[in-house]
Amino acid sequence: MIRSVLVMNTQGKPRLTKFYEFWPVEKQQEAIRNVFSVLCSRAEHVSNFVDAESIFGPDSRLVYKHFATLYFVFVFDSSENELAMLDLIQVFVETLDKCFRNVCELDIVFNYSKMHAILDEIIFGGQVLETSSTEIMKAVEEITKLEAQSNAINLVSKSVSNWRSR
Amino acid sequence: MDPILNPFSSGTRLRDMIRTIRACKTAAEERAAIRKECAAIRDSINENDPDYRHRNLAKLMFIHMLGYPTHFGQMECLKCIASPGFPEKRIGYLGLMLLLDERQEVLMLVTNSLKQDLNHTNQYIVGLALCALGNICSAEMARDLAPEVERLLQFRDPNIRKKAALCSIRIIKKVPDLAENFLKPATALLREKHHGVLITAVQLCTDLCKVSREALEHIRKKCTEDLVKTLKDLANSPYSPEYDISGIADPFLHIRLLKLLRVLGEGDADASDSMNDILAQVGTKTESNKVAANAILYECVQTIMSIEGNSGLRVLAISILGKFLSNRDNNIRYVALNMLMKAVTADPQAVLRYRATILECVKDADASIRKRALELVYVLVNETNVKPLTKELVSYLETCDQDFKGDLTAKICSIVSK
Repeated sequence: MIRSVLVMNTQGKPRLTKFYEFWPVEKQQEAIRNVFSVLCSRAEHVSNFVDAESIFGPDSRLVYKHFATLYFVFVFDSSENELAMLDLIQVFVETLDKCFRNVCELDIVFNYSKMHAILDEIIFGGQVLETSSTEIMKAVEEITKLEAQSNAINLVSKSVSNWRSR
Repeated sequence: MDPILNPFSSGTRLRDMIRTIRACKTAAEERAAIRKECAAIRDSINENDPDYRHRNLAKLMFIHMLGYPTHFGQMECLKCIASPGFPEKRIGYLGLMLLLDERQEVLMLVTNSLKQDLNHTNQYIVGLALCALGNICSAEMARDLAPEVERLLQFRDPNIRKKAALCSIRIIKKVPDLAENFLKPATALLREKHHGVLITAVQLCTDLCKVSREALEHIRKKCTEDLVKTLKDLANSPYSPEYDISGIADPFLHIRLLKLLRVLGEGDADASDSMNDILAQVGTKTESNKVAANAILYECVQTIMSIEGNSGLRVLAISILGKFLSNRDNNIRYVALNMLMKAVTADPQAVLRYRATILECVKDADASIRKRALELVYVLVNETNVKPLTKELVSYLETCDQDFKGDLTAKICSIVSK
């Protein structure tokens, strides 16, 4: 099972956090800080795996990838294949790249609700849901379409009621 | 005050709030900005204006991510979920998953909305409800909503079927007694052609086997043959770009199938026997210069080591790990050490053949690899090799970097006392 997905920048600011088991907010923040302090001290060209038991408790593993100003981190237990998790980060990032056309940190900061929509189509309750980025994109586009349609209706009704109340 | 002039009224857009927070130069400034924003959101919640609910929740999620308390928004999630519009429902369910603490009363209140949405005519709303349930389902909710989820396993759209399959996993983990209800629809899903559904169906069957002895027996008896055939077809399948990663046919499905076969083969000689051929094929034919291919090989080795003995296959598995150990990719070396750690109890002699390579890994530049290798050396020590191994470690102690000295010394000490 995947326990947590974290995206943070190279200054340690969280950009997306998702915990698939219940963790109190303070604990979440502590874990994010600890993960960051481990990641930022790692040299380049070393393995993508880090010992995570001291941070996330027994039977936890951590894999990360570093892209530009961002770290993508997956935490999971021994029932998952470490190398497959590394590939899953790749699927996530490739999908983000397609959704935002060359994703950068600012896209993630301002669109984190969409980030969650994308992540929820890849990982569901800590299990791998879909690994084809074409399928993931299709699902996310449907959701975006539904949100846009309803927003348009909202905007019209709201502006009419505002106009009336003036 | 005019909402446009006051940046901290509930009238500020999400975007503006994020900009304001990003512009803060110190932690104290950020705290102050967020305190002000939270106060405005609380006021807006108290005014109970449905038009601002969506925006308030979106802001609270951002604030939550930064580590500030947001529990006062929980009831707003419920109100959003209960409203008819798609965007409101989506933000409501998202908020429910992120902001919720373990307060049971909130969960009880949401069960009714979930039930309605699981029966909604809009399948995307059904998807939202499934996703929330899969993330936060408690034992009570599992009992109440299991029939809905079970029905959705046969929904016409594959996207709902796969979500329902993963949601079922959460349900049977919370209430293992419900496993028997899911057994039939779960095994029916194994005949799916859609890769996404098949991955989730195989995962559901694996978890059914874990929580229920009867399910394990049933799946072992009825499905092993078909699963072997599915894996065979997949291993021989032509290139299909959609699911392939660097030219390897759907590595995730490969891995899920190998894992379920492992569960079925463990402790059962007949089942193990029926999968020997395909394991040998996957172990020998998979080209190993890509991460995806190595992920499959790695899973295959784990399955070979766990199922009932076939010495030919064991030799193949250990030789794959041997190749991994001399791979230039750090990640591959790391997982090889992990796997050898498990193999060592089954066959210490075979692992000892790689002693020299493992000792090299103790001196690796990568701290993660060093640590794993040292643990492995520790397990490998026996009466005949204790002297040369300790000598090697002590001589390395003189040259290794400062951080590692503590770990290394501790391990040498415990080897000596062993």
